[in-house]
Amino acid sequence: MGAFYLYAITDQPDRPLGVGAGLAGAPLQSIAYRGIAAVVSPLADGPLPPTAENVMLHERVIEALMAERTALPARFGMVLKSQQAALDELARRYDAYAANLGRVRGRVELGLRVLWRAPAPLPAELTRDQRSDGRSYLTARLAEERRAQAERRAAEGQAAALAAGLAGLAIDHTAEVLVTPRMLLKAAYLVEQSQVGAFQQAVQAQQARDAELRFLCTGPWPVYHFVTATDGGSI
Amino acid sequence: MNAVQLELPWLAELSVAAGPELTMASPKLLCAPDDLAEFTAEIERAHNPLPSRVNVDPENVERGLSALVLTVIELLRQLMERQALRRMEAGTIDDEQIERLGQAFLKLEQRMVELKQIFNLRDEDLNLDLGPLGKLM
Repeated sequence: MGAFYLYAITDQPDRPLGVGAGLAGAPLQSIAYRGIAAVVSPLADGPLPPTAENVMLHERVIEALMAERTALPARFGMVLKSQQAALDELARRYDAYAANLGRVRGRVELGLRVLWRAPAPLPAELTRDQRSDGRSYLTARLAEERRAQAERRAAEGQAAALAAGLAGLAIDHTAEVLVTPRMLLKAAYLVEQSQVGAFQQAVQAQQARDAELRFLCTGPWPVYHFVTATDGGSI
Repeated sequence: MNAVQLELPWLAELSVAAGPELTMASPKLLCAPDDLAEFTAEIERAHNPLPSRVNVDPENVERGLSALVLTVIELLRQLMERQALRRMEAGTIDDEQIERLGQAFLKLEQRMVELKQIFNLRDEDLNLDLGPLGKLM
């Protein structure tokens, strides 16, 4: 038997798939084990390159699955060596998959990114470029370090306040602060489908309150950030 | 550009540039400014920089290897420099030591700038994700 490309682990293994073709036009199929299934397609010509087109199609398949059942999305590029390997994987992590499916059922992921002001440049007398002696160089570096620490503290405080304002509408969330100097917050929220509208309104209200920040809220997405395996990794 | 295009690298956790021809029926924008250019730039910047592999393309192997080597040198340089700054703050080194260390780090930094120019590397090419400590550059 050949290898299979994995899209998602789902519930309702006996329900016929409403999605037709997957990557490279290969037909989708379910490999069922007890109450769960791996949704896959045959992989005839080896691993698929991570082109934009392939990544988009991977996403579309998962979203179509999400519309008809609960789905734990696989990262792009996951390959199972054979049908037996798929069954072994489902059996080995059955409890974790079942628990994850229960946890995300009826819920979706929303993404949030917030930009803040660009940090102001240091005064010229404190920049390294202006210095040629050792003490001045280290003094300028120290000023840079102190300012970076102060920026970090300010960002963490502001991000925590933003996250707290939205956390009440979410089941769970992940957050990264200062992914880039301008990106104050990159967060993902696990939200009940019924709460998407309320969450959207809350973000819009935050945006209206603070014109210095820029909010980008997107979704609903598959629950990429909220699936964990028994070994602590993700699918 | 819609949200799916913006999120594409994140979806795959890969640095894949979204082509302008890609479209999605639902744009998935729940709250967004009229102009997404700022977000596009920052998302690309956030997903771009990690030199996780050496480029073994024969034409680029020298650049790939030099990026890797210079990244390690830059990491060590910054670690040593921060140690010196801590000691300077704590007052455990005297004026002469401060001057000597400062000169050494100043020259090291200047040499790194020269090496980056020689190998046509940008600061982003020497980046490393240090987990909870943030990024190197």
